[in-house]
Amino acid sequence: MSRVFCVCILSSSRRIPHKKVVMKSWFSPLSAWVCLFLVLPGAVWGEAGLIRFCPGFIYYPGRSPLGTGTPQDGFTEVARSFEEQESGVRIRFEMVPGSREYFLTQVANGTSPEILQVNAEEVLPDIRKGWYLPLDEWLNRPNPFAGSTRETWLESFGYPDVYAKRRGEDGKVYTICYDINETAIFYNRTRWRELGLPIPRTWAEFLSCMDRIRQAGYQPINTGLDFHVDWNLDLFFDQLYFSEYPQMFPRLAQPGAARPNLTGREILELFRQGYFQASDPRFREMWRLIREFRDYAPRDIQHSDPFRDFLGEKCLMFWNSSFFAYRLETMKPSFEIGILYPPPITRESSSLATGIPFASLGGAGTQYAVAKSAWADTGNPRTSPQVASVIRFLQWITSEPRYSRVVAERPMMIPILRGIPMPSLLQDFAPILERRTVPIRWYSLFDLRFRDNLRRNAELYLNGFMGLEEFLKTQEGNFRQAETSRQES
Amino acid sequence: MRTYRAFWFLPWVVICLSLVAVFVWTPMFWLLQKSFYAYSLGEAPRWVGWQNFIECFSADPLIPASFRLLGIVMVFQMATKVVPLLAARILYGLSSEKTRHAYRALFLLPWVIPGVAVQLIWLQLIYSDYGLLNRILGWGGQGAPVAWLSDPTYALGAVLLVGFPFVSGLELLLFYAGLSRLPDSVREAAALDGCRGWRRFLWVELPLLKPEIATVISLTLISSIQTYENVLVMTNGGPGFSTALPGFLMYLQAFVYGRFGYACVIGLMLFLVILALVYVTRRWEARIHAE
Repeated sequence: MSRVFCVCILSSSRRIPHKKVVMKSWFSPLSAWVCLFLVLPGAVWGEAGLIRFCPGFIYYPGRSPLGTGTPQDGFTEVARSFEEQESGVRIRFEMVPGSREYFLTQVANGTSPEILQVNAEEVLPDIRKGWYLPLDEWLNRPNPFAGSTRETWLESFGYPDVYAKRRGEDGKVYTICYDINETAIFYNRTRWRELGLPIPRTWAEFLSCMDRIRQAGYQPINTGLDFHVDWNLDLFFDQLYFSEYPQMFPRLAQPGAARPNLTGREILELFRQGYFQASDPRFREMWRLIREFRDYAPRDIQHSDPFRDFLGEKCLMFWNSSFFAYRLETMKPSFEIGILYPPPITRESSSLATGIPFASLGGAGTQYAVAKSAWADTGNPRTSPQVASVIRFLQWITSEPRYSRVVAERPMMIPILRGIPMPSLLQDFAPILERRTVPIRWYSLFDLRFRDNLRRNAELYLNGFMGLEEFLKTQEGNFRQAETSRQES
Repeated sequence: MRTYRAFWFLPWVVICLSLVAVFVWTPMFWLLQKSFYAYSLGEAPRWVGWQNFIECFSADPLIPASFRLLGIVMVFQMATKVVPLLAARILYGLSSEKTRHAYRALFLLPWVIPGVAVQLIWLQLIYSDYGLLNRILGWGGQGAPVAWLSDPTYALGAVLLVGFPFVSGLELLLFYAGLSRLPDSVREAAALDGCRGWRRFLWVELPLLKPEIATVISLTLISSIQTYENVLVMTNGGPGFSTALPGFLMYLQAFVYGRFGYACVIGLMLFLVILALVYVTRRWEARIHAE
């Protein structure tokens, strides 16, 4: 076809004798209409039995994520074995942008890969639009590839909090959490020893260590802006409000292993009662403490590169995700690295502190959602053979020995499937995962407008260009805006 | 025979017009219609009448962003015309053809560097903690390093300075071509009257370069109003909304907040402003060419 197209273009761009024109005059219009009606739509039409799978940058076959080692092929092998088992099914790997524009346009239009690597926070604001498949129906039944076990697919995953926290406000699960991503503070143990610093037991001691690091001429810690307004906010909230949970959120006090996160509705209810406003002393104190902590980070937290600064010994600590452990290992730094978790904020630092140990985030790493393109064949996920294939593929990759084949290739993420040992490189994260998890995810409480406003105003506040009072007022406005948006939708 | 040739091209014309209709005209009408709706992808549009327009003219970030844009367009138009014009004149004045050629190539070389790469390099230069610019200022006795991108006072200036010294290839080539077009007799006549050097440039050559200047302005004016990629890559409109421009706000409202109706109003406003500017610049250009 492309050759025909070229011929048409060439033939129309030169002077041709009359006789030839007569001959080609049939050919050219025909090819033009063929282009218009066959080739263009052909690019959009799908192929029967094809599952397009976006595994995410950590596991994408043929690449070495973050430049670590040789290209990986775990998922290629697992996908080929699935194709051999399921006749007529073909898996194609696709890399798609993780940006909001992509989700809004391609997922909404049903042209995205059937299986997408996403963050639950990106999915949950759109669940009412029907773009993603609720997975409970399958998660509550055994995984057919998991052998003779009677446990459900959901039970085959460890760390139940991880799934519980990713339920939507309708109580349903929309993403398969394929692994775990937890945070910790990576510190330069060599310099730490040289400076004679102790492992801090309280937040006050931690700040004191950072003061001494600064006096020694180093930047104490580097955490980016997103860290401060995302994970940090959840952790500090828990530190300040833990003793108030029984009054504020009675359901958190009820017995049960795993509880979903607090919802926007619950938070707005408390907001109407006066919580999370400028007059709420704990809310003020929480932001004051975050601001105090931020001052130990570089001036430009928005554009700094914590990993590079840590590796270049410009800062002696960086607080970030567990997958940096492997990256640091492969970079072979000239110093020894240690991992610590922030010590509790005690009365020494704040009169409102609860003194409880810092909770963990219960963070999911790679998450897979089934997008609406999966049921484009019938228009109904319940009757769609394509959806059945997609679910079977997800069950296939989350059962042994396929799962180990993929996650063991690069010990970057913490395995979530029960019975899979923690990679030795990530052993330091095991005690962190045993901690209680925070009950809130501020970043995904409301719509993305709330998140963006929070981030923009926090940037001004944390960089000293907005006072606490003014910042808290902007957040009151943000809560009201979120309330209005919820009512409108 | 003539009729036959028309038929020959008819399918291609239909294809082109169909594509223009699908990708240009339809979104234009769609934009106008959706301006009156509260609309987000995946949800049924809800009629809100003039509400989006009222919000557009009263909302906080958009009005300051429009004034910001006005200032930027003026500064940017000046900077991106004056510097290339001077560079073109200096180049044209070089006596050796070889040197002229070499310098021209050097000036055009940055044109092939992708814009995002330039922005990222610029980010490294002005990074407040270890950036080159702050180091140089530090050697010069400047006390505390300037937070170029996180301080609302400097952020917009820092974004504007991307591409300094603004010798863009397009402008340079057009001005250079314009200078080559001028007949030698004009220069000789000016020299006989005692008008040489910069005076000749200012009073003889510059007025004769009006058609090129008009063309360059009308070519770059529209893109400078629509553009927001520097802001998106470097500051994401921040800190706060201090570097947000109307084009960026349109993107934010549509693709981040999911408020397509409101974004359509911003798009419509931009469209009307650009339409008016195109009309004015085309008239101006036509008048200059007629002269």
